[in-house]
Amino acid sequence: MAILQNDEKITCLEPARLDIENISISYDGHIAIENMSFIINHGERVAVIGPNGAGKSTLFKALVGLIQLESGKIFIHGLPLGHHYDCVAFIPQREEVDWMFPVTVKDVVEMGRFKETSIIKRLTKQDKEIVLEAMLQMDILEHANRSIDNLSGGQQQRVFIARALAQKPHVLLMDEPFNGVDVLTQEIVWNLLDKIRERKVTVMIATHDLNIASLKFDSVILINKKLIVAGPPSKVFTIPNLQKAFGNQIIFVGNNAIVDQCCQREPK
Amino acid sequence: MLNWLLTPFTYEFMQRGLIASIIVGIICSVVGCYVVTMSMAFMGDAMAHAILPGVAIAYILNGSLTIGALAASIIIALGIGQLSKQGRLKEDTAIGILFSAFLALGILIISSIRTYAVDLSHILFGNILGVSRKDLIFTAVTVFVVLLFIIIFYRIFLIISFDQVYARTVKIPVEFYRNFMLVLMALTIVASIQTVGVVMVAAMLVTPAAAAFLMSKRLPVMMALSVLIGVFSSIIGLYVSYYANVASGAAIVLTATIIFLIIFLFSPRRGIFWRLLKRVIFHKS
Repeated sequence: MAILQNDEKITCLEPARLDIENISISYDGHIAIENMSFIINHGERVAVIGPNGAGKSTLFKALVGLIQLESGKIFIHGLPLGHHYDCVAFIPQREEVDWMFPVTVKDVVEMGRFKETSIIKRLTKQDKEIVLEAMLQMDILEHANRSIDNLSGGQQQRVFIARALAQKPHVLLMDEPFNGVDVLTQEIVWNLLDKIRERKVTVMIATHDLNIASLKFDSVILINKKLIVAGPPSKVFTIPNLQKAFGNQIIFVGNNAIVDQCCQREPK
Repeated sequence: MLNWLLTPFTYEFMQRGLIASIIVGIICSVVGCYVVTMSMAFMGDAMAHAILPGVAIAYILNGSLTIGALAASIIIALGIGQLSKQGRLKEDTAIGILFSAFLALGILIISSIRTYAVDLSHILFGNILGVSRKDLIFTAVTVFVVLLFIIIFYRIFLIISFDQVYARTVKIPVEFYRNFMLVLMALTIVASIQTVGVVMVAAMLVTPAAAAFLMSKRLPVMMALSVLIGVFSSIIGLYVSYYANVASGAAIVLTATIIFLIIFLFSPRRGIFWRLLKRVIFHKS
């Protein structure tokens, strides 16, 4: 592993590998994540599965440096977190955004091209092309000049995915991207995921849809505060593993597992 | 009619008053856009009232009242930040505590200075007719500096005010820029005190921007509209103040409030009136 000085920063040149080593995180004395370790290979598409409050969002926020680790380490490209400018893009849940703010779709996507090193500089021609391409890919170009508060839920989700794409990330983190969005948006997102798989972008998606997770992902990370198991879907999705993660929230009907999401909400 | 409009400005102090209130209308309206979008209205109010002890202490020490005001305003902003840091207290609680403490301190000191009583009402309510040439230059320079910084840091301020989570993920030092913004707010408030006074400046920071918010889909548009509303209110308020012989700050703020109410009811984007109208038509058909 290359050893860099503390203040040295690099930009990412290749698809990222993630090493999570023994991380623990807690809020006001409550443990959110305890001693979690796993490795994600270059360009993998990973589903993060767990009941509400299992620490899925917390894990993502730790990966972009929004939350301090209590112990343990996170390596991206073999380098500790904080050495990278722009290679991890995080798409938050829709509820966390101020939709009343006076910005247009294009304004939001352009934020993806912001660099701290060029505070004063306006967008370059190349930046503008990247923004355009991101909007095209998410099929929101026709809404470019609309304000974000009168878009549908699916369109709003796509705006934020477009901003993340404009960041040209090597790791893309999506927190429940399929929650309350229309079929068209789901289709566009899956097309995108297939496209960026070719570019070897590492993708992590938090979801509680076990069906999608078992069909469309290379590997699955099953968590409930601790890591239950990580690996290919066929190995992860066994009845004992799921029971361990979901407890009595999961019901098995023949070969199908049904998660009861209605009665436990993540505390705000 | 023309005569009626021009008469007030045959006096030099009225000319200065007009220029000062236009400048204040501009800057409060621009900075106010961040105050409104970042939900800092209560913070602005606290920073304005915190000026009182600053001015009083500066007066006792024979120092510059302006610097005293600025220092007190910045101290309360940073103090609120410290108290509410990492969720120790909610921000509005922190504001509530420090706001009243500063106000009490100001009153305490001022009540101990007997000769001060006359000037106090000027600090509280503004004295637009007492704007000296020096005051005017100070206000203009301050406003120019604040506007310049807002233009330079436009993109950063946009990101921070819209989405702090994203700002952190792209490694913008959010805390630093937020404090920087608070300093710009303090400068704006201090520059406006002479014209509208401590009690009214918070309203000038919120009302024109809130009215503009109801009509705009982009921040630059919101700023431009806010400036229009702010400047218009300043001018109308000044006429009202001259002809009705009432306090200028109060007249300006109430003019802005009336404009806000009109927009609140009739704005094509978010106006209550159209919503109700739609509901009525919808029910009939």
